[in-house]
Formats: sequence, structure tokens, C-alpha cells
Amino acid sequence: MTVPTTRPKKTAAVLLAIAAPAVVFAMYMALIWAPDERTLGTVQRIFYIHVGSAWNAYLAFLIVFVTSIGYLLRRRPALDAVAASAAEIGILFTTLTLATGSFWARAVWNVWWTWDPRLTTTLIMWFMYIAYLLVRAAAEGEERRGRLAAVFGIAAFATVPLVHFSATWWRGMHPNIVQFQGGTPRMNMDPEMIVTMLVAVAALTLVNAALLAYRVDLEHLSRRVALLRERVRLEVES
Amino acid sequence: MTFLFLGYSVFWLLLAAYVAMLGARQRRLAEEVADLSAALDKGAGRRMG
Repeated sequence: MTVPTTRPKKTAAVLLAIAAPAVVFAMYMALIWAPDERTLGTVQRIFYIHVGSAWNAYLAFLIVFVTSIGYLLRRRPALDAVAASAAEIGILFTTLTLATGSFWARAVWNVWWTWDPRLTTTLIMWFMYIAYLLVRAAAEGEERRGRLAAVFGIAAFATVPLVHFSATWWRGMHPNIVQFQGGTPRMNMDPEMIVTMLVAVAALTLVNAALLAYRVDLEHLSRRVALLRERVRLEVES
Repeated sequence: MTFLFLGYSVFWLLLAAYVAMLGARQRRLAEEVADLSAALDKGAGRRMG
């Protein structure tokens, strides 16, 4: 019989090779090149990885949303594999957002955590996608698991705009970097800080893509293992 | 400065821990594929002769 491949495909390696220098460059900009913030000082530099992580959590959950719709329409297991992988990576980036935000909060607000609308909704989003993974783990049968997870993945995406607009809709302590003046979005930041933020976001997006490619390969591999187990079981029974 | 250092350290440690976890998962799955393939080959060998 043909032994299924056990090594991740080239995509993840290529993406990682592109992401690594991009991350080094982004770290140089964030820690050295960007100017110090006038009132917050050096601790403001946490902002670059914090925003990059938050953006990538949104992106990963958007991938879950789109592939879940795709799965319900076309029932292709590959789409379900991408959704499962993206949810896990989204949870990772949400964890990073919460962790880096907590250090920033301790330095600036003198608390590790506060029930600010942005923080609270982010925590809800985190729990929703952990619940998504639990639903996947609990459901039996590939078809049933895929269908249940897709419905959950679409519903859970409602938390993403909730997190994003929470700082606008409700008064809180969390800074809102994009403000609307006469309907036009404006960022009240030094241009060098904006460039650094965009570079950090781009570099972490490459890391996100590399992790997703790697994780999707592992998802396919684990499905091959399930298939092989089934064949061995049938062999033993016959 | 301490919180900046801690923030970046925790960020990279969590990321590295996740990559290490994926690596461990890959090794475990690869071993399982090898074991199951060997079991299937053994079964096929028995049927052949």
C-alpha cells in the first residue's frame, strides 16, 4: 500500500522563509526605529505586536467564517480542515493579544485586567472559539462534525465586529486608534509609528499564513491516520 | 522597560510553544502512520502467502 506523506508540504516552509526576515525587520522597527511615545514612553512599543496579533486573530476568524460557509455549500472536507486550523491559530493570536494587552495595561493603567468593553468582548470571542474547538472534539462522524462546526463557526464570527466596534460603541479605557472626523477615518499617531504598525501587521500576517499552511497539513495528516485506523480495523474484523 | 521586555518575551514564548506543540503533533502522527502502514502491510503479506 502507499504510505501517506508525513512531512508538511513546501508551502509552510516557503512562507516561513519569507516570514522570518520580515519579522526580524518588524522587530527592529518596533523596538529601535520607531520613536518613543511622548507620555507612555517605551512601553507603548508593545502596541505593535498587540495590534498585529489582534488583526491576525480577526483574519483567522474571518477564514473560519468563509470556509464554514463554503463547507455548508459544497461539503468539501478540505474546507473543514482549513476552518479547524484557522480557529486554532485565531485562538493563539487572541491569546497573544490578551497577554500583550495585559502587560500594557499593568504598565499604563496599573492593573493586569479590567472589565473594559474591548477587553471583555475579546475574552468572549476567545471563549467562543475555544467552544468551537470543543464542539469539534465532541462531535462524532466526519460529516456531522463538519456540519456542526461550520454552523458554530459562522455564528461565532458575530463576536469579531463586536470586539472591533466595542471601543466605539461603549465608553471604556481602551484606546481607539482610528477615530472618525467628519466621516473620515484618522489615526492620531506619528507617521513613523503608523508605518511601524503596518510593517508589524504585515510580518505577523506572514507568520499567520505559515502557521496556517503547517496546521492544515497536520489536519490532513490526522485525517489520513483516521482513515488508516479504519482500514486496520476492517482488516482485523475480516 | 520591564513590562516591554516581559510583553515581548511572553509573546515569543507563546508563539514558540505553539510551534513546538505542532512539531510534537506532527511526529506523533508520523509514527502512527508508520505503525498503521506496517500493520496493513503485515496483514496483506499474510493473505498473499
